[in-house]
Amino acid sequence: MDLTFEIAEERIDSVSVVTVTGEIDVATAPDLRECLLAQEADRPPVIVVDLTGVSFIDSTALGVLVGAYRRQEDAGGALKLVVTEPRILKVLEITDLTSVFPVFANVDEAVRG
Amino acid sequence: MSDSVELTIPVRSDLLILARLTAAAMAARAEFGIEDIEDLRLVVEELCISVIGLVTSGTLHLRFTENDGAITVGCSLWGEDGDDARGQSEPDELSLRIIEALVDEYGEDTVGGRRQAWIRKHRSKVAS
Repeated sequence: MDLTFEIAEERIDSVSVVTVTGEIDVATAPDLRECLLAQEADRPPVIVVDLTGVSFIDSTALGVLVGAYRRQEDAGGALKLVVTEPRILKVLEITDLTSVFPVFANVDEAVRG
Repeated sequence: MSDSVELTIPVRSDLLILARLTAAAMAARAEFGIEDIEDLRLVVEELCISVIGLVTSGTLHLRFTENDGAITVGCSLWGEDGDDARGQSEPDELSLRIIEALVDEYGEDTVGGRRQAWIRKHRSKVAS
């Protein structure tokens, strides 16, 4: 159980990559939202959110991701997820969000895909 | 045999982790598997979120009960004056999907004049 919550941002070509580690819950989801809004302000065509290092995600965090996805879509862009942790995939599946988000196994694939 | 643990925390988002930790400890003690423990942690978080709604003050009261391989978690919200402080907001759709998928039973009732939301999860049978 990794309780340390961290967000890092980088650019790979024109793609904005947001890497999150730790637990995204009702306490930390606002930080993720702020970070995504800041990225969206630069109008990148694609935002990749790397959840490889995330050990817990709740409905508040999912709501933040759905909000960012919709804003990107409205702006003509895309938001993709990188998920490898079975636990996180399970939460995306039971909420039917695997049919919403493009999900990739690593950042390279998400950036190229 | 039935064991109960009660947890009272102020309505603060950074303290909900205490509810998750208690859920995990109770589930581990009841010999739940890792998958079930993680399910219970998440469901307890969702239970708390749905009870709190848009309320920003008061205290959250949780009662964890282990009985015959099942854990029941009841959650109510008390105001500063000790009254029922729950708002009328419905659980978020995503939250509801998570709860429905991961617990065996869930519902609401009234305990001591306060509305309580509750969930119950049984220990999964291990395939032999």
